[in-house]
Amino acid sequence: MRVTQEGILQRALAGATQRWSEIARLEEAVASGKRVRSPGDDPSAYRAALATKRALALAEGAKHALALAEARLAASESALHELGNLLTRARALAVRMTNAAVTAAERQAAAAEAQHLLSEALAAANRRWQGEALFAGTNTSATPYALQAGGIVYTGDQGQRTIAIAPGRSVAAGIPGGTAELLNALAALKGLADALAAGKANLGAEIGALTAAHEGVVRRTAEAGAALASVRREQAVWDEMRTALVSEQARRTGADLPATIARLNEARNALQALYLAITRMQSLSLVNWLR
Amino acid sequence: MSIFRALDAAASALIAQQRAMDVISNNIANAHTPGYAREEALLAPRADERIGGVVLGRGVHVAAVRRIVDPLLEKALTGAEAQTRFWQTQAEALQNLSPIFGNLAQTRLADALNRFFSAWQGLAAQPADPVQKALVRDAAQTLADTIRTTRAELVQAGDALRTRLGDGIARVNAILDEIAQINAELARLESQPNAPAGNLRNRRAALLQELASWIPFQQVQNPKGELMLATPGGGLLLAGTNARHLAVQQNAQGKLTIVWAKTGAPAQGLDQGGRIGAWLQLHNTRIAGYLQSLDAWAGDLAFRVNALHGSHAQADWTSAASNPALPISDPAQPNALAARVVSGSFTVHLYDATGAPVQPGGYAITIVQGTTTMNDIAAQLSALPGVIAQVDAAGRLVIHVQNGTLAFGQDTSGFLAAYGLGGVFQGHDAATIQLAPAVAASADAIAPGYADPTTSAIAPADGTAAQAIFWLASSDLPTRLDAWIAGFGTDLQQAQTRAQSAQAARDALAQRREQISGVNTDEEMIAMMRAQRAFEAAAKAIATTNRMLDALMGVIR
Repeated sequence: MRVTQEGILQRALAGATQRWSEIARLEEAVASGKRVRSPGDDPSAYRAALATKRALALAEGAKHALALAEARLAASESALHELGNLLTRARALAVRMTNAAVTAAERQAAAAEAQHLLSEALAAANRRWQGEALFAGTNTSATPYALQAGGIVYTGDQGQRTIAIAPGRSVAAGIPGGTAELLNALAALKGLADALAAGKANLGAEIGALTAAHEGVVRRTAEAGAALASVRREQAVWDEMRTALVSEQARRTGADLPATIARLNEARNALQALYLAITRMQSLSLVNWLR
Repeated sequence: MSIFRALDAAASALIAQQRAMDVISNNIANAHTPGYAREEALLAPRADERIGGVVLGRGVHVAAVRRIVDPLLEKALTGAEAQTRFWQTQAEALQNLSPIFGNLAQTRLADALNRFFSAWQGLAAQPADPVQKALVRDAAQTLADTIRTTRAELVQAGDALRTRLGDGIARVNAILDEIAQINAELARLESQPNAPAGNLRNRRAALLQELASWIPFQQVQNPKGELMLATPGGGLLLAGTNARHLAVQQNAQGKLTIVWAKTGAPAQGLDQGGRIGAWLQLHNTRIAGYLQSLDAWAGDLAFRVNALHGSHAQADWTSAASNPALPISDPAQPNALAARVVSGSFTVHLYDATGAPVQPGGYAITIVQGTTTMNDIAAQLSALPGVIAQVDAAGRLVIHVQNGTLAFGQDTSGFLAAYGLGGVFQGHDAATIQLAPAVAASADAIAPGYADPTTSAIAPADGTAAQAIFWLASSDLPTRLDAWIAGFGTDLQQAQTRAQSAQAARDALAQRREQISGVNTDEEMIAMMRAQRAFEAAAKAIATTNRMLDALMGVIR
């Protein structure tokens, strides 16, 4: 086989170019810690990484939505709890006023107190959170419960306020609008206030209504509490999912640093060996021996 | 025998060795010249002379200077060069396109789409929050802008290729002209005996090699021994001294074709190799394919988001442009989404100045596929109380409600989504997608919920529309975008791999050529010593003969 000096140089150039390209690629991987950075590095891994990135964005969104649902449910639970306390106080007042020894002045004072309890209950039923009425269904701009001549009027809708966590997955962020329990509670309080204002001595019916309303409110409070606990469990699930996704992304796109560094050293040594070989070959030319 | 014959023979050796030295020196001088093929001086004895009964030699002469080449290898090398350049050019051009498709740190379009869906998720959670509406509008604006920018950058890359293609064809024509001139010169020189044509052949070989880097071609010799070049499709590029020029042509669809400059007929097969072939394929196939997929995806995104968008009441509405002479569902409409309009209806909810529904449940507007025109819809709308609807010069449906507002809903025809009425976007592809005028004017037009089909009421905390749009995050829309980006990655990776293997094949052939035609300076040194010694010996023979002549002259004196 004939070997020419130009042939040796061409081979050396091709080898050096290849080594330099490999060294540049490996150095980039070591510097960034990434094996896959752009679509051409590994198209299928890149595609999977895009999907994981999207899933991570969804997980972040889910976390935010769950925090929102949690805060809204906590506010609903607190308002319902407050309503339950008001009903308990009203029932105690009614029992106290059922006694025949109660004077007219005491009854008058009790009527004022009952009216005050009704006002507080209305405020709790119309409680707003971040500008939205909590118990108006989806008509959250309304002031849902109002006291009118005919009794308690509801102007919200029957909708259920839900929050989307992920595609195809929503959670309740409150209790449905216009529930009978809230109306009954407000009606029972109004009934007591009216009875006391009218000087009624036998408050048995009012006490019964207040007891039933209290049970209803307690049931709804428990429902809100259960929904809150469910949201908190879901938060834990999404936290775990997020961690798993982060780790999956690192595994898929990250560089195996020890192996990459070993390959980098190997490529550098190969380049040095190539240069040494060229120098030795060139020194063997007859040109160097002729004087 | 005359003593002068000895002088003559020795002198012929001096001349022959001197010529051989010329060839050796030329070889050494061109040892690293690309495409140079070494030459060899072929020495041969001069014709004998018969003197009396004796046959005597008359010395030596250079019978020929032979150029050492393997014609088959030369042809294979030009073919390999065309393939190497083809894939290298594709790999380089695709690498240049890479920033358009983004990287994991900044995925551009994929990031914009993620932010768009996240914004809808936020609105679904807080439908009455004006901040969330503003975030959705910003995300939609960013997405539409990113889509248009991506498309514009791809179009720009295609335009740059067209310019380069024009420059490349000009160079091809110049090379063909130069080869034709060399052919003429060679024909003239080679009609004379022992004419020095080696360097012209070297120059021609180098030009053929350069030509192969531009276009693929076949080379043959005609019966007269003239070089002929043809395209892979069989069209004659060059016959002897006649070169045929090429030109670039672009058709109405934007596709580029290489044609014969004189006739305008297509020159077949030039997209199979060389830089020209790579640019043609990148422009006509790769970039055109990316644009087609992006357009289809952007149109689908606009249609599906619009179809799910909720109801918002306002006094003025304007649709996308149309050709009013054609049915709104006609595929010949300037709106590519027209073909998605089917027979069905949509509901118009009218509200008075206080916001109360004029007719709870609204009014149905009927559409018949292949029949209903924009003017028909304008007529149906104008029949509603307080509504003035007309089609403007651009074919847009312009609606105004006097002392009230209007909201759309319950569209089973796809008309609203296709023409961007009550939608988030208007536009039908990646070039035209933009925010719908109502959304562009105010973030309030972002509607998270639907008008109730019975009461026409729009509940402020109804996030069902926002939720439905957010759920598109798990549809084929993002996965098709991922596939589009990964498809580009596959093209790039394939081009890089093919470029590497083509380069390896070309390098192997180049090495083989170097082994045959390359200059080994050690060999040349030895040949030089041989010539030098032969020259010295001949000189010695002359000196000796000269002394013999002197001796002879002494005898005479």
